[in-house]
Amino acid sequence: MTKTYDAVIVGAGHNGLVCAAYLARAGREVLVLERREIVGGCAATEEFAPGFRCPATFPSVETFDPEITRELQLESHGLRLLAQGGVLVPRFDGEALYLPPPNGTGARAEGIPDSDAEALNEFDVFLRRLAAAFHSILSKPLPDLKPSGLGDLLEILGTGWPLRKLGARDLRETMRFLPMPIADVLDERFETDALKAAIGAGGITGSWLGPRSPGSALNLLLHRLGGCRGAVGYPRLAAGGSGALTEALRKAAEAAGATVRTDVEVTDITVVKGRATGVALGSGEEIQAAVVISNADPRTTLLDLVEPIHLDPSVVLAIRGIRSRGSVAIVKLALDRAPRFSGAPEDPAGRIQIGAHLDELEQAFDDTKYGRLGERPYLDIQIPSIADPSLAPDGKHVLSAWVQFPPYDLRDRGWEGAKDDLAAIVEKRIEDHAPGFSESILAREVASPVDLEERYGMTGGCLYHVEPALDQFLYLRPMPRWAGYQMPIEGLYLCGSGTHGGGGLTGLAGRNAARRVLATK
Amino acid sequence: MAKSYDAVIIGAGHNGLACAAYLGRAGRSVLVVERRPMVGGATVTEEIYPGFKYSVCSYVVSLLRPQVISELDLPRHGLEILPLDGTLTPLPDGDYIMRWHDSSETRRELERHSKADADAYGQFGTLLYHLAHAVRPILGATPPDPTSLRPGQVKRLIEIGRQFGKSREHLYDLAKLMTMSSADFVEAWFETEGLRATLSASGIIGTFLGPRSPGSAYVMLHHYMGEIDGQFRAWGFPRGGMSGVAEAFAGAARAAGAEIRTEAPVAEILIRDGRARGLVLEDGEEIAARTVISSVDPKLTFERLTAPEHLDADFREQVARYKIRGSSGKVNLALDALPELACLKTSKSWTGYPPEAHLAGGISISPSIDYLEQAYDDAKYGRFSRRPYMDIIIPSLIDPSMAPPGKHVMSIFVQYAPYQLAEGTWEDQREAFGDAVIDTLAQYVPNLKDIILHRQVVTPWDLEQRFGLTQGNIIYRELSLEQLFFLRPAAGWAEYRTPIDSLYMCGSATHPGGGVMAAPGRLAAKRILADQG
Ligand SMILES: Cc1cc2nc3c(=O)[nH]c(=O)nc-3n(C[C@H](O)[C@H](O)[C@H](O)COP(=O)(O)OP(=O)(O)OC[C@H]3O[C@@H](n4cnc5c(N)ncnc54)[C@H](O)[C@@H]3O)c2cc1C
Ligand SMILES: Cc1cc2nc3c(=O)[nH]c(=O)nc-3n(C[C@H](O)[C@H](O)[C@H](O)COP(=O)(O)OP(=O)(O)OC[C@H]3O[C@@H](n4cnc5c(N)ncnc54)[C@H](O)[C@@H]3O)c2cc1C
Repeated sequence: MTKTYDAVIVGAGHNGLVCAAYLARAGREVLVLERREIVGGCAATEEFAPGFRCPATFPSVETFDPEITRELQLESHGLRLLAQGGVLVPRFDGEALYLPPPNGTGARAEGIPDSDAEALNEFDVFLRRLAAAFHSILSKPLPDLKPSGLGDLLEILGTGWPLRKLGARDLRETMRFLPMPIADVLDERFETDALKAAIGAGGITGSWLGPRSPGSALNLLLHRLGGCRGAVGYPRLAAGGSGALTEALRKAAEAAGATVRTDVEVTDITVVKGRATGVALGSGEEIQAAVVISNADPRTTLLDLVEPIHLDPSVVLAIRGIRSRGSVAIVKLALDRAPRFSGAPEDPAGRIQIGAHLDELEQAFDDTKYGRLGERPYLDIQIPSIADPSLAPDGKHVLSAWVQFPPYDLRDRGWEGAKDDLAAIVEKRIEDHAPGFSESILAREVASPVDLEERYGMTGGCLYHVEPALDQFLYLRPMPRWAGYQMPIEGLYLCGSGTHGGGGLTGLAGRNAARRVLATK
Repeated sequence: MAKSYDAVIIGAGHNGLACAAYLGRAGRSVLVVERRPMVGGATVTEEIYPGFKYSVCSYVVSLLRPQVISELDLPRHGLEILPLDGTLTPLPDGDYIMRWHDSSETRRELERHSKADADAYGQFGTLLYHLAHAVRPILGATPPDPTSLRPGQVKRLIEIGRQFGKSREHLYDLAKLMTMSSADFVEAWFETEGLRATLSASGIIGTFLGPRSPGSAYVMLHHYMGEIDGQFRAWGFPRGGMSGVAEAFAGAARAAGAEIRTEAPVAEILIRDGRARGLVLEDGEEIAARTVISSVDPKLTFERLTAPEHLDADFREQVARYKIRGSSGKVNLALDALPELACLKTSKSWTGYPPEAHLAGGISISPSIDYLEQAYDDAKYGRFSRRPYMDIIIPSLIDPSMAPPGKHVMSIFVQYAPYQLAEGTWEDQREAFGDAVIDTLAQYVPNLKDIILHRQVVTPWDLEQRFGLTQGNIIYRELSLEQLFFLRPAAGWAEYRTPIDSLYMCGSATHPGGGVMAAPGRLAAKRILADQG
């Protein structure tokens, strides 16, 4: 009676769905199980006030890998990408730096000296080349580090080849760039503070790093891999929000024959004689599968879903050593009208970054180091309803603020009472640059790092599952010795953001994991 | 013109002297020219207040290569290293943590704070020991250029790979240690805050990093390296202060036939047809030499002592962005009596040692990781730390000749003191900085202010003015990840050679880096001898 799937995937986040789609397209019988009532994980689009819908965390989808979009024919499954938006950085003097999207209209950044405009072009080219080289490394599973034969050795060399192809000079620049603090990189190249902040913000996004922390340059690069983009994080929305992307992924997976079930919580990964054989659900139902692939973060997967007796103590220690300190809160606002930012062009359909100086971003990071709720967090704001009116009732708007760095561990006080304070801080910070904005607020939703942990099941509220950092990258992601998707239990794989290729909305981890599973059989 | 030398060396710091000794022993005629009236550079003892001898800059040795000590026969030239025993961390609550040379005593003491930490301590040391062994082959050899495909380079890269391969079980630990922060590293091991902080502090010394900055864990290992060659935790104090080291090197150099001229500041390196031919001193005197070797930092060498037309633009740019921001200062005190630490009075002594014995090693003002990190935050924004990290020794307890009977000298290494202040200059901030140090320390040493006879405050600006350390950087470069190993001092030019024929580098900016270790001087000499057949 019991049916055995080729693969069961725990969690229908974007990576779980990507993984399912690739496995199904290869003819595998796949079942995806999602705890929540909707798919997409933290990339879903959710209604947070009657008539107001907003992406859960990342409003825009420009980081998602275009190759995967093509291969899975997501556009035929309903994905429609909107035009690229610009980046606005309001300054405290009432002026703003506006970087218009590079869409061929010839518009260029205003208010920066020629030398900076030139430096921006140069850095853009450098970063694109670097992104292309790293994209090819991150879009494949890493070869095994114990070269057992000539074939493996060639594979390792092949993985490094995209870097060698950069040429000696660029390779040197790359080796210098990766471990650097992004602030040092930018101080060398640019003069304008707001421009440095505009670019540097990409180096701290989603991380536990300030712009002066070594490794923040790497983090910037990781945010530019999808589509091999350059220096500035021009946003690109999908009609319907990021949830439209995950819906398209679900359809692509289903069209290829995968089954997706929502509202089912996996409570256990069944292990028999050291091998994963399936999962048990909250309802008591048991499902059998040849392999179990988890889209949940490594800690949840291995410490919560697997009985501890199946793991070697040294593995448990390594898992405990993974750093996943959440440092992001999400504030969503329902607005009566779109805010007007001082110094902004009409309708800035794009990204508004509040934090116009690298020191300001660094100070925001200082707060998280000491577990404080800072007064001046960095805000990455989008108003997706400007480009996509379907997200809000007629004439009204939704604003999503990615707030970096409220700490998961708020020292000396819990998050309960602190959420109102956070909302007030965020609203004041927007009001400072968009006078009169506060009066337009109709409803709000604040998700603290603790809420994000509870809602999306990610340890520490860390949206990237495993903090992006030099020591949790490549062969060290999610943990040393286990960077190959296959976990210490036979037949158990990870496919989420915490693995190689993961971190952010890219889909690469899901595709890599699928390839690894397919190659193993 | 006068005599021409086989080699002339700029700077009589210990590296310049070591290089001179090795070249002299190989039969080369060598001249060392030094700007200051005495040899030693940053390894120097000066009697600034009568009867009291300050080790003005560096104050302990442990990184000094045993190989160099024996090859150059330094003990015969007067080098004697006296052991320093233990590290005392006074805590704000009146207690303290003491780690002794004797591991069973340390264990008893740590157990007082945490049983788990006492258990973990030994394993932690073992891990660092193994990791240090894995890194050492790299430290001892001339670094290859991984971006080069020349056969020699590839071969060396493979050799290094093989060395790493041998310690494969440590490969991952090493990769992590190279890239993580010292705070993350020690927090995974220990729970006692003062212990965590004191251990992680060795990850920030001489850097522009905080204990939470990725990369600081490697610096910890770098400082630990000195301990693996000789005796366990064999760090010590040279008799007579740091000049004891410099004099021994100078003796070895002279014995090998090298000449040393002090008060002979170099104005320019003579270069003709792309080749170094000698030096011009500030008074106009020219000295001809077949090889010129600079022991000073690359910025000084290439931006001040070399005329720009001899260097291509790409190289000049690399030198210009070479990071060398100083972050440390020093306060040296002449004391009328022995300082009394509050923690040694109020808390019961758990060991058989008298209170004074706790002071005969290092004293670390590092009560918590947050404390250190906050000290770093100040520096990030261009201020000296209002509550600084301090690494203190009382040399007169180890070598009584450093001060008159019954009196003492105290050496306080202070971090952070950023070279670039956001406001004001170091000349008008110097005493305020000194006050911040004394005020902070007085919280742990109540009688401190009453016993100070004289104080010398050394800021990064002073280090630059007096010792020629560009931006006051104590180890000539920042120990930051991108400047480690391969990319030093400028990418493509890491092998003691420079873009100018016959011009070499031998100072702390070259592999394997800063500290009183003499490895750069030795390896540079070997490189030169190999190049010249
Ligand atoms: C405050 C401080 C504390 C330190 N503490 C320690 C410690 O406890 N332990 C440790 O291991 N290391 C310590 N260090 C680091 C260590 O002292 C140095 O890394 C080491 O002494 C450098 O030796 P060197 O020979 O490479 O250069 P230096 O000692 O700097 O020698 C360079 C020499 O060149 C001379 N010079 C400069 N310009 C000219 C010119 N134009 N013409 C001629 N001569 C010139 C200088 O006067 C100097 O004598 C400390 C450094 C400082 C500053
Ligand atoms: C430029 C400069 C360079 C310096 N260089 C050095 C240096 O090279 N070395 C140095 O010590 N100080 C050096 N100092 C002084 C240094 O700052 C500290 O004063 C001193 O090192 C403090 O001790 P620590 O934190 O290194 O811990 P230490 O006590 O020196 O560390 C000892 C290590 O041994 C391990 N250990 C202890 N017991 C055992 C056991 N039973 N089995 C196995 N392992 C064990 C511990 O876990 C610990 O990691 C330098 C200072 C300056 C300014």
